[in-house]
Amino acid sequence: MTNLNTITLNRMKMITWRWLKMNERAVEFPTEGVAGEPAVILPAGVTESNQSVDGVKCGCGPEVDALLESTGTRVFAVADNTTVEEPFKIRYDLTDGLSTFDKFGIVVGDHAKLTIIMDVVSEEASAGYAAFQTRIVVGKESEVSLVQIHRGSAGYHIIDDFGASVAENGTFRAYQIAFTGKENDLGAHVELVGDRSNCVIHSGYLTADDHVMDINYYVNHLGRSAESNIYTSGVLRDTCQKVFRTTIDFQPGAVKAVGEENENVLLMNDGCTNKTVPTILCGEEDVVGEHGCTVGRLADDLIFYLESRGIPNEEIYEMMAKARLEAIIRQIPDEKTREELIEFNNNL
Amino acid sequence: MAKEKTFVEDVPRDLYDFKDEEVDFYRVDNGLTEAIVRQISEEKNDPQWMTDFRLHCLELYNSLDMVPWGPPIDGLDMDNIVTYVKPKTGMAGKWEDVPDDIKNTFERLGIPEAERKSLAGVGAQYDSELVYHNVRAEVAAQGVIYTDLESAMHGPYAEMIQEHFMKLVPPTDHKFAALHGAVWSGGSFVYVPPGVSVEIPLQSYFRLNAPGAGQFEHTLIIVDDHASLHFIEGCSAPKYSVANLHAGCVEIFVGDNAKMRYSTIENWSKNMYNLNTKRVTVGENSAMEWVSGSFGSHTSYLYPMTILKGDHSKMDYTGITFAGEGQELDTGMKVTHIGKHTTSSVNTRSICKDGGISNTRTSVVVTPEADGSKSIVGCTSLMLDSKSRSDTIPAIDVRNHNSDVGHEAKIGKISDEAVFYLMSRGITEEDARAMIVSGFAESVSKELPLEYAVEMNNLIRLEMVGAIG
Amino acid sequence: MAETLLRVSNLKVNAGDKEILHGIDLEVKAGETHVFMGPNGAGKSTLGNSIMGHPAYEVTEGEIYYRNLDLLEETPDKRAKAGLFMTFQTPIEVPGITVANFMRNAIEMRTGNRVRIWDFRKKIKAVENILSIPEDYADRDLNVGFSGGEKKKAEILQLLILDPELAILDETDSGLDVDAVRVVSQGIEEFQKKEGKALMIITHNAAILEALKVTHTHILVDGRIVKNGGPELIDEIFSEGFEKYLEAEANG
Repeated sequence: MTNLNTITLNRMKMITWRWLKMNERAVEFPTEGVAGEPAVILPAGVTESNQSVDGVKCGCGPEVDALLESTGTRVFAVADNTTVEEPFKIRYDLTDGLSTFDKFGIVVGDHAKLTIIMDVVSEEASAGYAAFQTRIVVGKESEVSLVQIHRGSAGYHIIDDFGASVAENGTFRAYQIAFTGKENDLGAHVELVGDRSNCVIHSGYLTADDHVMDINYYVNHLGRSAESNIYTSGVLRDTCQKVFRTTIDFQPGAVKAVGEENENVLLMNDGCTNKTVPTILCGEEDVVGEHGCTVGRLADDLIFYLESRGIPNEEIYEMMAKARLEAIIRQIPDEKTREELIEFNNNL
Repeated sequence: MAKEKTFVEDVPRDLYDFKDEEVDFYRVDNGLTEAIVRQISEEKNDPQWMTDFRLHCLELYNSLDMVPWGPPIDGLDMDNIVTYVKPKTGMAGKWEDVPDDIKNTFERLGIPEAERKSLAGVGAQYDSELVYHNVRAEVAAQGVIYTDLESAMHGPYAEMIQEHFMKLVPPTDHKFAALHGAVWSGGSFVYVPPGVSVEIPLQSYFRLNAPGAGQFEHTLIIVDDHASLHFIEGCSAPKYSVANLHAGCVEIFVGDNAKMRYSTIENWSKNMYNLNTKRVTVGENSAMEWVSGSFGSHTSYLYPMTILKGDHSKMDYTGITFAGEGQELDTGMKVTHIGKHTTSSVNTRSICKDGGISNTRTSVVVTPEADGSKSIVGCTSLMLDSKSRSDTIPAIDVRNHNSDVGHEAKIGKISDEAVFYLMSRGITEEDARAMIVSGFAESVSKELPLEYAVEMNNLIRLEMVGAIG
Repeated sequence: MAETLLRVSNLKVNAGDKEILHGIDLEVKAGETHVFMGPNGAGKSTLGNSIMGHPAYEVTEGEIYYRNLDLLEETPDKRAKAGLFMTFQTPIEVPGITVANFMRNAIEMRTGNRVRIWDFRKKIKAVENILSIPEDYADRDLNVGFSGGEKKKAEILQLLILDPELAILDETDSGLDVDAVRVVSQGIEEFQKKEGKALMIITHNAAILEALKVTHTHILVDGRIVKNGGPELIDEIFSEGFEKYLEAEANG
């Protein structure tokens, strides 16, 4: 029998009214897990390493850190001036009854380039738990892309948490595509430390049935002229529940920083719960911070346009649901993954 | 050129800062005990239900925790806040009957002149009590009631008050709502009967003179079906070195096919903790408009809440917050869509400078039954320096799929280009920046009656003096 | 005798509380090309949108029949299925759906038949060549990031691929440079050449009409058709303008 404990995660940095019930989430999760056996494709240029990534913060918060405290971190490194052509792939096929805890660290040196693809699939009709943390260090002038894919079963509860620290002129891109699964808790914490560092997060989720999607993204603007962009597109149906928190935090001194976030949510029916809290914290005058979000029905002129081309109303919503996700999937920098996911999305 | 002297123009900074000697005033002891609550209740000649209600609220106050979010309120030691300060006068219906020192206060604030010029009725509260209440004869003749809440509790509207009092803002809402319920004093009762349109605004002015005191007025407004009302609230206080507390409460009930507008210019002194709760419920086909300017206080928690209950009801909110040195103003609004085809439209502006902190906190909730609802929220913040802070925390909860909810927030500084442009036309940098800030605030000032718009622009100008260098 | 496709009788249409069309009568037969001219605000686009079923326009009186189908009873997609098509002045951007996938979906939903991808791509390529538009067009997201000219061309591409019977072209030529007008005009010509098609062209521009065989011209002023005629009316308008009809309307 798995020993479950209540932990609180995904707490917003700046909380708001409690009655809204979106400040944080409490989950029942096993206290212990074992290392998983992912299929790893290690391309030339990526090596195992014993560097520490402990200084990199993740997004789910201290209780997830504590949960995984005794889990060992597998650290990989890319040396300075190295462009890794092939993606570094980590794939989990989770089977029934597991409680998987794993931590990864990826240290990318200066003037280097790497794409990491983490694909977590839980088998149909399987139930279990998995918690992952990935800590990434992006060196000067380097480009790192992290693709995280979730294809969950109706019985799996997954916590997937990452953090990245980005040095001068470094670029960090995250692509998080989450297809519905029983419970998904996703966290991200990006520190834009260096001047002119930048990060882009493309996030797409589909949540259905009575499943839960709980997301907490935090971007800390420290460097000058740093830039962050968060694009999110989501589709909700049935009686699912979703909370999406983003925080862009401009620290004093983050001069000429630009931060932008944008979320679009399509609700396919009544009965699902969509909560969004896009926070901008600002302690520096000379920045530009922007946020936009739209929730709800499709625009009338869009519906008319598509109807006029012969597509019935009920099909329009289904079509747009796929389109919303596909628009995010298409951003993924690896063609094979992109095609696989587009097909997966079309066949849902 | 001689300027026309209006009652708010060219005010010196100390307009709000003068204080009156407090002579022979009745005060209860500091702190909050059952004995004090009973004493207030007795002093006010409360009906039994109200005494019981106060005591129930006191219990709640002691059991509820301080909110974990929002600006710090450690500077507020409840044991040092005097909950009840009563001026040594009854309520007057004519200015001549108001004692000279209090009358002078309100005259310096321009209240009687405003009444003559542009208001349908005026209420003036001094510390814990209303000292003046008057409504124009023709408005009264339409059946409009505008009186102090306490005497109304014993009059023909007693039942109506008992039915509505703290039903919209229950004392369980938060700790300071419970406090308010226990020690409330003063405030107004407004009733607009069905079909009556009050063409010119009613106004209440709140003045907190006593140092270390709390003001807990309760405003209850009922606008019946097919009626309309514009209510204006103004607040000020002189500055003391000890903390003052304002924990007022405004409850508004708007019937069907009715219209209500509530305008506030709040300029409490900068030792004030302003923890105010305002809420409205809106009936079918009715419209609620909020216009809110927050300039004063040391710390504010202010989020007028609208419950769009009736089908096709709508709400417009226009707010501006200006946080200067030493201030932390946590302002915003809440709206809950329940009726079908309800609409909310929100436009907030916030400005911070000299280390001031401005938080814009909002919530939009669309319940599953609010089919076809629409909400648009826009929050824009202007930072005038990097000592200051500006945070935006918008919460959105949508559960109806046939609704349309949009939110936009922007944060930034005054454009150097715009300053340069104005300076190239011969305007000083200080004036250029003040002009840009006034322009930024215009979406609010244009919603205000002229006198208030002028007052607001003056407040901005005063705040902007010396804003550079 | 050619078959009557569209019959509009005594059509009155409101936008908001305002009546825009005050009673329009019109008949369009297969093989015909009708041109609609008139000053801004005359109601030309309202007519097109009402035929297609735009939700912002409310038909208060009159009838619109397509063959034997009462269009006022049908949603826009059913109207499209019946054989109608309208180009939009500002086509909507749809991220996540490519032009090709969108058109394939639209055809499949309209005909109920599967479209074979390979043949379909060949067909698109052929049309792209006719319109001299780059071949990657079809792989871009529908109207996303398209310039004004590209959007109009994409509408013509859809016209030729979706292959309706009756096409309403709502100012397809406005805001285009000379080259783009030529391309659009070529596309329309291509459509016109096919058997049994009909066109309703709303325009301010003579250039687009040069290569086309126009059979009917209608002048709309203030929500009414004030003059019906043949192609000669086009030349008259371009040399003399609408003044005489405006005056007639004002006096009548």
